[in-house]
Amino acid sequence: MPKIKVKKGSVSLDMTAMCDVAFLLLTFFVLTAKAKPMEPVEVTTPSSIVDLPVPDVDVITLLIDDKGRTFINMDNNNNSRVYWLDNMIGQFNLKIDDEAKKNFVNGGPVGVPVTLLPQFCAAKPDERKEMEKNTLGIPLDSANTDANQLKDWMINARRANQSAKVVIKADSRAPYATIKRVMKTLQDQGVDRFSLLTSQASAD
Amino acid sequence: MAEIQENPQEGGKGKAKKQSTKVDLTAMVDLAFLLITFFMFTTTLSKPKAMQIALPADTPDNTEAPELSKKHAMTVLLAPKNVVLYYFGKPEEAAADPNAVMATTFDKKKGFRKVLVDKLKELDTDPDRANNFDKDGKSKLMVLIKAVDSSVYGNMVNALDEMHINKIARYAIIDISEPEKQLVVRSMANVKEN
Repeated sequence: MPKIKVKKGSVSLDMTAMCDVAFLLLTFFVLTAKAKPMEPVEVTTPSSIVDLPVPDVDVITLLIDDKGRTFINMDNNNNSRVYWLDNMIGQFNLKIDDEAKKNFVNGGPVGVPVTLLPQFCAAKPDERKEMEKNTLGIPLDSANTDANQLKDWMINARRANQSAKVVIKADSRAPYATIKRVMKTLQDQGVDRFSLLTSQASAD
Repeated sequence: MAEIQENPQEGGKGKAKKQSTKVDLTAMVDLAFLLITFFMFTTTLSKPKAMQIALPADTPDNTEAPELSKKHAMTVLLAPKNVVLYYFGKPEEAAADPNAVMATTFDKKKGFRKVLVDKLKELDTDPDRANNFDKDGKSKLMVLIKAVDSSVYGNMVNALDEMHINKIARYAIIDISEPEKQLVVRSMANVKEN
C-alpha cells in the first residue's frame, strides 16, 4: 500500500500584493493627513448634532479656553494677516520690525494685550509659548469700551478680510460671562451671524 | 570592464550563479502597516462642525418684544451647576408663583429634552391645535434662552442643540434680567433642598 505523502507546502508567502496594498493605503493617509493647527490652549468643544462644515479659509476664529481667556486667529488667505497686523500697528502706533512681522504672519492665534504685541511678535517659539501660558488673553472689558481690545482686533481683521466669517471655538467649561461679552462685542459691530464650533455627536 | 570576477572558472566560461529574485517583503509590509496605523490615528478625519447662530440686530427700535401668549412662551434659565430652570409665560407671573419655575438637567433621557418633547406633545394634542402650529407645521413655541454669568458655555450649546433636536424654529439667546437673576437664586435654593 503506497503511503500518501502529504505535500509539504512552502511557508513563505508572496508578500508583493500585500506590500502594494499597504503602500497604497499609506499614500492615501499621508496625502489626506492634515497637520493639526497649533493652538496656544487646549479647547474641548461641546458636542452637538449639527453637521455644517466650517470653511477652511476666510475664517476669524475666536478661541476661548476654560478659564475664559480669549485668543483671536485669522488665516492668511490673500495675505490678510499682513494687512491685519498693519492695521493694528497703524491704530496703536506700534513698532514692529519686518522679522517680527513675518513671525506674526506665519503664526497662529494671538491672545496678548496690544501693548505686548511687539514683544509677542518678536518672541522665539519657546518664549512665545511662555507668553501664551501666562497671558490672560485679549482684554475685553465690557464696561470700558476703550479697554475692549477684542473690538479693535475684530474691526481690523474684518477690514483686512472683508469676506471673513466669524467662528467661536470655546471650551464647554468656558464661563458664560466671557461668552456673553464676546457675543456683545460681535453684535456691537454688526456681526449678528456667526458659528459656534462643536464636535459632532448623535442625538442620543 | 572593471568587474572583478570572483572564482574565475577555467576557460572563463563559467555559468553565473542564478540568484533568487525573490525578496522577503514581510518586514516592509510590517513597516508600511505601522505607518498606516500612525497616520490613521493622527489624521482628524472628522472635520469640526459648526452651529450657526444669529443674534437679533442690536437696534434700539426693536426693543419691544412681540407679545406671546402664555402657552407659547417658554423661558429657559441656565443656572450654575448644569441646572436648567424653566417656566412658561411671563416673568412677572413666574416670580409671583413659587411653583412656576421648574428645574431639570441636560440628562438625555429625562432631562430638558423630555420637557420639550412633553411641551410639544401638549401643543399637539391641544383642542386649539391650529393655533399652536403655523402653516409649515412648525410649532409656535418660542423659547427664550437666558444664562446667568456663572453658567458655562457648554450649557448654552446644549440648550441650542436641544432646539435643533426638537426642531424648534423659534428661539433666541437673550440677556438675563435682574428679576430673573433673583428667580434663579430663589429656585437654586429649592434645588439644593431636594
